[in-house]
Amino acid sequence: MKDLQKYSTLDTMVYEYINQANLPSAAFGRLWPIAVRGFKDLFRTTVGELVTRRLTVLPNKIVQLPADFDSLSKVGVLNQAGQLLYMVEDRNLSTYAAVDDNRVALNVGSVDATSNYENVFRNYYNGDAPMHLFGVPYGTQFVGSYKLKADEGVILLSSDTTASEVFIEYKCNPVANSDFKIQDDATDAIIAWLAWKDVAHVAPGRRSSPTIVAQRRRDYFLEKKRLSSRVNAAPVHLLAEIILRGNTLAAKF
Amino acid sequence: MTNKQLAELIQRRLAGGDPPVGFSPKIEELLLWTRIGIAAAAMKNYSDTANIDVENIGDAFYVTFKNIALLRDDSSGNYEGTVPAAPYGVPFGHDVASGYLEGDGKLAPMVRVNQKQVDVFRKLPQPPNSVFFWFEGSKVVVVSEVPLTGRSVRFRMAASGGGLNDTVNCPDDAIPFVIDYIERKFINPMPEDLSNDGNNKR
Repeated sequence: MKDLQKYSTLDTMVYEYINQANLPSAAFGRLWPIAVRGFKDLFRTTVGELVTRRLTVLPNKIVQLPADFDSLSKVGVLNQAGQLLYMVEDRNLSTYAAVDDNRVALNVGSVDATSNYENVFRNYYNGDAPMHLFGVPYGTQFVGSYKLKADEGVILLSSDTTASEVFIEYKCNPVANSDFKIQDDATDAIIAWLAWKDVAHVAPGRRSSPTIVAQRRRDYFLEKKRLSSRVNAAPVHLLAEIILRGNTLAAKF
Repeated sequence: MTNKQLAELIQRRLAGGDPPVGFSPKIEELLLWTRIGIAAAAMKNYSDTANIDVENIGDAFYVTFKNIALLRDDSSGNYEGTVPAAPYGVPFGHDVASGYLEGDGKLAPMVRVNQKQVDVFRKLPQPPNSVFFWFEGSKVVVVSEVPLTGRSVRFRMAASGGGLNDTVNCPDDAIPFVIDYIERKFINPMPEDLSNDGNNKR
């Protein structure tokens, strides 16, 4: 991760909590694993940033996921202008023999889906393909389709895919960020997490009581919300663009 | 104040003035007692501060042991060293305040492991590039992924130490407690039972 001032390391946040809670510095060893859990929670839900990778399509039309894969954002191929053309997710794509060398051949069935079989239902069908007749949504071109099969560590592509390489945009696993760097904005949220978890499972006494634990739990979610409002801010130009793209031509009756 | 001065002070009080030649307890014996007394004073200091504010013990209880050589234990792969005195039994974090790897004029902090969690910490997420340590009496065990042969370590800890001519490791306001503590041990000691032949216990 680039050494920008907006990123702080997790250990400094742990030291800040040790200082704030007036704990001995030896508490670091115990607080570190707790902080890592808070780091993962914030990374996955609030501050995680996306990574883009260029991956080779294997002959059986699958793509191996990178080891630090956490969750998928987009899959696409490049056009000549350097833009990503997205693939759409095909939830019906078969995951049978997902990593088999003959995956494509093993997944060819005998049902002719282009004819009107009794048991094939479509919402709208114009004779060639399902389509929108009214209301043409804005969008880019979609090239091919995919289905994620994370347990096998692959993305399956439709059998008609011709691309030799695809781009995937994904959120990486927080631990893959081995420096444990996180946006400085998250300091208070991490401290609130530590304050909560530090006393959550210790015997009630001077430092802990059910009331303190409940209050600190609430504090954490408030801090997380505050962080989220800063990190995932919705600027006006972005909202205007969303409205613009969401407009569709519709027939009025 | 040196350890010797403190021992002499206590000896004078026990003797009620200048101690005669051959007076018992001797200075060396009292030196051992002062160490026990100071350790008890540290624990009392901890309890007192816990009652009024935040857990703490006075800075003057601390001492830094430097240049502790490490030797590799081939059976475990850990490194071991010996410090001059074991840390006090005050609560975790107040006994051994910090541990550092020494070398090249720089200090690198090590991560303290709680003795009761020695078996657990390896299974948990570990801070990157960390070296861990824990104490067993006056022996320190250091765990590192990189070789530490030839390296030395230092610790800042609450412990008694030093010889007769070293400064006493105790704040002045805790000295009255130390003196009272030791005096109580020597007032009305158990008289020697000359009639007991060892077979009939009272």
